Amino acid sequence: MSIFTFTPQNEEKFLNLLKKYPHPQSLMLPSLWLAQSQDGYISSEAMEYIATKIEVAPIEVYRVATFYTMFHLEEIAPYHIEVCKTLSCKLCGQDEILKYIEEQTTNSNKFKISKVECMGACGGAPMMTLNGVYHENLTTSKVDEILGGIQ
Amino acid sequence: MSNLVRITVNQKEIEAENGANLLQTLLDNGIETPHFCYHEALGPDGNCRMCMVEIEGQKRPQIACDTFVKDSMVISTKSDNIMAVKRSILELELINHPVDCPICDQAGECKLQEYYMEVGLYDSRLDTPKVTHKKHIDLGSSVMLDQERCVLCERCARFTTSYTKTNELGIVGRGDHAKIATMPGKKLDNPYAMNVVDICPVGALTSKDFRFKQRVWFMTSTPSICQGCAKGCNIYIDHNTLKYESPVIHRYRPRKNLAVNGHFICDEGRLSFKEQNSNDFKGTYSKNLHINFKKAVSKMQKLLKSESEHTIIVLSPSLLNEQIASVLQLSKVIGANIFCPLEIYADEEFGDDILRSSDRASNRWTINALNIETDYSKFIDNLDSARLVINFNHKLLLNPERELSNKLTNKINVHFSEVECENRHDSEISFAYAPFSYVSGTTVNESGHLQQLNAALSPTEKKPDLLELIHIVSGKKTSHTNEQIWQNEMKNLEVFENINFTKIPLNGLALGGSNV
Amino acid sequence: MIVKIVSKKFDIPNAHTLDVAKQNGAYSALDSALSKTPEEIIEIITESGLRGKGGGGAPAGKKWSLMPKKSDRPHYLIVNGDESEPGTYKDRQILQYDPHLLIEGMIISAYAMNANEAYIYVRGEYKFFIDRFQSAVDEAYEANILGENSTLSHKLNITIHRGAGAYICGEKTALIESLEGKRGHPRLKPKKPEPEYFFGNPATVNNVETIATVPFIVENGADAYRQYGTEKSPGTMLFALSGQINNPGVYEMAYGASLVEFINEIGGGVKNGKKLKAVIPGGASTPVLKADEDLACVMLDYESMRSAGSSLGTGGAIIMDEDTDMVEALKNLLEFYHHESCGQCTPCREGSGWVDNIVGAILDGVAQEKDLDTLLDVAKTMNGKTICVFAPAVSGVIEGFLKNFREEFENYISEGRFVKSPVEAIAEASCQTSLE
Repeated sequence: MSIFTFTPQNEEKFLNLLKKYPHPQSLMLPSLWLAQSQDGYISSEAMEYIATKIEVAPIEVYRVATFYTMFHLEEIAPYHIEVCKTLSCKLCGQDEILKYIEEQTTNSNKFKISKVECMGACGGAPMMTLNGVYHENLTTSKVDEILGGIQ
Repeated sequence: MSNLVRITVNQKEIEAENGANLLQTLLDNGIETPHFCYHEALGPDGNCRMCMVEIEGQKRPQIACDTFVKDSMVISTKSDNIMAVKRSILELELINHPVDCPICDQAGECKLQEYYMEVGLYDSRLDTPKVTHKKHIDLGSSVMLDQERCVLCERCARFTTSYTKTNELGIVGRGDHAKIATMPGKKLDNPYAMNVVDICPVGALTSKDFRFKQRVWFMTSTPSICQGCAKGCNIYIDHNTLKYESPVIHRYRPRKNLAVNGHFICDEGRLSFKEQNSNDFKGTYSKNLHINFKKAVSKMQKLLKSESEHTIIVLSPSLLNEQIASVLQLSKVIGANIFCPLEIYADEEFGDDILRSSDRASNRWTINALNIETDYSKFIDNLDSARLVINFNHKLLLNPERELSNKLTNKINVHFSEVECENRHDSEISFAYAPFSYVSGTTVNESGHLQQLNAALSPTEKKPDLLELIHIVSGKKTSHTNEQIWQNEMKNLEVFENINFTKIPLNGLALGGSNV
Repeated sequence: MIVKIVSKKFDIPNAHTLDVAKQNGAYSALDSALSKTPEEIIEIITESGLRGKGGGGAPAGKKWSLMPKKSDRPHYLIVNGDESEPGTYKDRQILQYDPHLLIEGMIISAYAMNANEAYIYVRGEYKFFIDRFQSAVDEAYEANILGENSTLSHKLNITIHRGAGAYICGEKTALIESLEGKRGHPRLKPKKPEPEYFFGNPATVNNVETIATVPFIVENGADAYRQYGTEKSPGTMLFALSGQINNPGVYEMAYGASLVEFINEIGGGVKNGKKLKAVIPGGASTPVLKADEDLACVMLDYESMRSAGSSLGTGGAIIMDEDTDMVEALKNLLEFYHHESCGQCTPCREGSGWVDNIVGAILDGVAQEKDLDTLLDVAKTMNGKTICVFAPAVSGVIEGFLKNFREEFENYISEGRFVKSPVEAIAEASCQTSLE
């Protein structure tokens, strides 16, 4: 079983953050983000580690990690595409764009496609993110451009 | 300092403590108020929304568990309006609930069933699929989890957080895919784990031990006291007798007593019912052979006569008060000294700061109160000059270690016990008697609380009542019922002289101060 | 129609940097603000009628006055940047284009509540905007505006807290729970008006835009703010357009503008020359409005919206044209709520799933007339019996769709498909009743 610890840089970030809150518990979300940035996902070992660092029971970390949509508890493909499915995007052709994206990535296992709820980019609908970076006002050619850089 | 006010509930005025929790107040006054997440020991949570009541002056119904008693409050729990609200909340609780009743152990003591009969009684209008989860997950500690049946009241998680402070359980996930779980790979593992089975209002958490064994409506619940340690936790003995079969105790459940154990009991005590069911040791023996009861009695009486100057009695500190009084009576009749070495009953590892006492002697208080000799070395001194040793279920003599065993080899040993003694060869006579769940009586716990045990089963010929045994063996010179004991012996014992045996409250009686 | 108070610097290149921001007036309100007492500032804000811009529209001054006066306990300002209401994308504009305005607002607001620590909780997806705001905060620390070494008479620390994908964390008590390191479960509400509590100490939660409006009000006075808007809804707001509109975007306007004019003149009208069928005026949680002749009289202020049977919410309008399948639209929204319910209390957790499934069944053509009754009944149960206003919002959404477009639902039930209903043209309609 692997042991999880923060990298020296992440440990430093953690310690800096510790000073900014009245209680280490507040570092729950920041710690989960640091762990996910390290491994690409959050393992049970990482959760136990975080629990000790912020002084809570491990089950609390697990409860939080499963509550928030953006945390992955398992490894995912290296390129994560999130397509917004909520109303404004749906009204602006999200269905077609999603279909196109799926068609373009169907032969590759480098991609994970998720349908997500409103990303706050309603004025730039339809939209997607690629590893967290927003791409708005999508057209099929724009999608080609974005994906072109990867395949 | 109480500050009583008057409130009106369903047009009836009741007295209530100002600022008290309204839900608890309603429950204490016997006013049926369906609820899931509130528990007296765990406090309110406000998530189930089932305890809604109508409060005059408030536009919307309010949850009673987050409302506090104020003078002149006017509450309705039965108006058409609030009944409709309760029905709709219940309907939503049942939307994703699997219809497992035919195979669910909780049937008959399930809050969903109860509340459906109270405020539901509607036809289902669900035509869409239910959320599904994992079923029969072994959580460890004899607890089985069915995530589908869970109503997410969070009582179990709050129990492991605030009561045992072991933090095994929690609600994970979000929305209607939320479920109760442990940390991946971890188990439910603490000495009070099985209490979650009781506090779970539905069949999500059930006892593996009790699983599929018995329908609850076939059982009788007898209030009694656990004899596992000096805490004296209050329990229910759930038992029944099937046709043509022996009576069986199926389980213990905690019985609420705010003065002793609150709402819970420890797992070891809970599972100790199995010992009560054991039918391994019964009847009468001499050395290693079974002998006839009459023969055993006559042998005993001969011994008592011949060894009358050289007899010592050892009794267990877990005997009931009446049994102790009876042995005292016997000791006077035959002129023997009584000993009760207590050291061996100490169990530091077992004791904790929740319920478990580090003292396994359930009735030590009485032993001390009656000034029975508890010192081991005094016992040994007396043992040397004795010829007949009569043991009433004391651990030390049932299972003596080498040194003591050697000393006992030269003595005439008689045992009155619930379980078989180790050295059968050295046992001149062995009488089996019925353990506590077969008899009624009283004990006093370590805090000086006098409590009543009630007989769930009945003594049999092979496992008679100890009082009866002593009565016969003594040539009928001792009392043989509880009533007689209290009238004759107990009255003369200072600590019990002012007790009315027939009027001991269900929650026991505090006897001025601990006597350890 | 466009007003530039909060959005004043949005079009200035690099106005997010301290130098450019300062050249254009950033932090000019600080002197006047810090020379007043905290009580005076609260009075100005109260007089200005500033209302919360996170969807609730509650008077900000009243909220601030719930904070205890200076005490031994730490006080906290918590800024709500969780912006997750579908149709809403205004707060990110402030983070991106004028972060120093927000910092300035935070300093003044924190001063008014005797707080020396401020947190801004920003939704996890807004990584770009978080980084942008962090740079501005770093600049402010460098320049001794923020922090221990601040040259100001009121020292403030600002810490950015990144969310991780939970709409419910926009509810102010759920936000604080999340900030305390827990699941975003809204708290039970107190019996009497009280401030919020962060680890047991007094805190106030305000929306990003609300705080960003504070510098203008404090510098120019309550009356200056009241020049704009209506009597009960004074001032301006960052309104947004999205959906089937030609010019989607965020536009600052005074309250009280005509919704139809907003759509036609600023928004450029419905895309592809189609007719307007429906508008969700203030973010998904506001009841949908039908584009009939009454719509011409609906103004973008809290009171008018309420009389129209809806709510101004976050001011993020979603435009739907004549071809929109309203049953699909409702399904889309209910899926959102189903996904985002925190699951704490029964009516919301179970109800949000059930109503989603019922509308799904309607869309699949397998529902019956009684299912519409069930749908409305469940909506009723979800209203007024929960810990927070999430479920009541879902209830209002369902009722709005059924009130205005019931026919389409019935068509699905009887014919199993979308039947397009005729839509009136209201592009040129104007309000026949006199304005209040």
